[in-house]
Amino acid sequence: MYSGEVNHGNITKIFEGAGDFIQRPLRCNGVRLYAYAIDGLTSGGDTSEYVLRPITDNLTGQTARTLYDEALLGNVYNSVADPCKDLDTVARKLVNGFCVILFPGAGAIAFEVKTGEKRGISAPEVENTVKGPKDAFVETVRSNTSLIRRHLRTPELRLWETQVGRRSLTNVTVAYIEGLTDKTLVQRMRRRLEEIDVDGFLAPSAVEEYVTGSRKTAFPLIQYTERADKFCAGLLEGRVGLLVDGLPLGYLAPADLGYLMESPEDWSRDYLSASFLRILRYGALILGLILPGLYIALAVFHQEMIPLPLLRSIIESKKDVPFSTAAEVVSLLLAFELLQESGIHLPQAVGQSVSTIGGIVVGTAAVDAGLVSPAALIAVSIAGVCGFVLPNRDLAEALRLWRLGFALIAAVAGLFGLTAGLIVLVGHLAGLQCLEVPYLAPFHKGQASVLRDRMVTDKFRDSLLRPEDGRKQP
Amino acid sequence: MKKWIRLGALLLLLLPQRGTDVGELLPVEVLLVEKEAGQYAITTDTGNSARGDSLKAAMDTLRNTAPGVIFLDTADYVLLTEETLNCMDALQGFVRPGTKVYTVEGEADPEKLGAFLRAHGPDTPLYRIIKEAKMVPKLRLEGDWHFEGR
Repeated sequence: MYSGEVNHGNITKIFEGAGDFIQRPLRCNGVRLYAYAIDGLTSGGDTSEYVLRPITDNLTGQTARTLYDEALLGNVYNSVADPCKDLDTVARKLVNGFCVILFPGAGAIAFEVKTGEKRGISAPEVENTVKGPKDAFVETVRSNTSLIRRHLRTPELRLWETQVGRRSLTNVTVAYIEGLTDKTLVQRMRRRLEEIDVDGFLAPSAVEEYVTGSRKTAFPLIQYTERADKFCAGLLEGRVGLLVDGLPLGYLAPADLGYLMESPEDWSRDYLSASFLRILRYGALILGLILPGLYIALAVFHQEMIPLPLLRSIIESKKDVPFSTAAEVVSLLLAFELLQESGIHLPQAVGQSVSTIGGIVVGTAAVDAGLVSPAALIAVSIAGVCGFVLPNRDLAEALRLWRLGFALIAAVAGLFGLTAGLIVLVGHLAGLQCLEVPYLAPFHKGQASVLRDRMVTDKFRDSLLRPEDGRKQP
Repeated sequence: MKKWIRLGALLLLLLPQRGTDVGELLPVEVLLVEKEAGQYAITTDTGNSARGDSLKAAMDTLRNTAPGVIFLDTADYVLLTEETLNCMDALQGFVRPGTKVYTVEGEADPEKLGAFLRAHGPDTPLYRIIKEAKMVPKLRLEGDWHFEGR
């Protein structure tokens, strides 16, 4: 990125116009040195105490070269001292919270003096559990790696670091366990990251699209989590982890439908309760997907399938409604989406009230005014609640999109259209893969992987990940 | 592959059947078929009635004059008289094969008989009566309604 000799002129030229760029000339034993730092990323106190003071107090050399060697080999008692071989390294170190000392003619050394100003580790906001740990990822990647290390103290944990984004220079860490994770998975992940050539790598969607190859699908192909324990559990399964500086998330790949349907709460309960809840969750997945479309199909095309008392009740409730069933359901689905979106964008205290009150008041008012029938409202509400049951938000959002599509196709072609839509969906899911692991992998060869395994008998890792060590316990 | 999916989606839009909204339906549970002055007279428990020279003509009139879409797929009971027993074959084209058929003797009001038939009606579906030539249960009004032989 930056070419040229490592000298004072070139370094100051890179950061010309940057108001937070600090440059300070020093004199040590008659030799002129320069100190550089970015205000806000570095700690002034640490810079003074652990870089500048040792330079002036401890270095005894008479030339820049001898001063450089003394500083590099410990006379400047800073835990990290990285030699900077080129201008690129100098620039990267400075923007990463290092103080760089230039020894003109000899080289430059970067000393780590990062500021302690960062968000503290707190409880997860979305993936809450009653019994599980309460430490969630934060924006600082080093804090996140320390969290992982606390959960997984194995020395075989590897954290391969790189920078992605020509201008953002976002620090990205690939986490895996040596001797466990399939090396091919790691290589694929590393290759994907190296192939990314963009200006900025800042948004979660950038991570998801670039790493997974930007497939035309609403379904998530990479799993994110804010929980360190869930992240580490994924690494122990043989998956590859990804941490991105600036995002309070950890990503796990490959992600298939089975992993996306797992909740951290599953591992806080006994296997019977957890299995029951998983079955419920899969039921909610199917119900949330097809219920509005099924209601339209039955009410418009296949009324003979509705039991007579229920049919009479539905007809009675629709007496004063001026809109067709399809229009009712589709408009309710869209209203539901609007309420959810408004709840997200408003401040938290207001947003929750708006979503709740909006749903109840608007829904009730719409029924009382005869704009929608109670049956349609109930069908859409149940489908909406079923969507909330899913542990992965991205999966729930994909579901919302397909649910609307199914409602539209059912309005046109009834159960025939709904069935055709389901076939298209299954075909679409079957064609998806993440890091060359199929999306519907848990359901291949008739394996019933809906239930949670008993930990005592769960001896083998997921064979589809081809882990180097397939056995979890003897 | 995408071309075939798009073609399939287009074909879906060209399907002839457009469906009937449930709000427009008049679901029938009990259907009474009588003969009056040589004409078939049909009365439903929804309060609709029609006449015609044949069963088909009467059904067509019923459909055309009802304030909604007469829905016979929900018809669970058909009441015939002695004069209209011979229209059971023609009846197959209008109601489900599982619709229960009875003969009725006396003034029958379909609107009021629904609950009684649900509670006491024998299981004599149309398809079994025709296929096995079974006897059609007779519903009689003697003070109260009851089935002959019960």
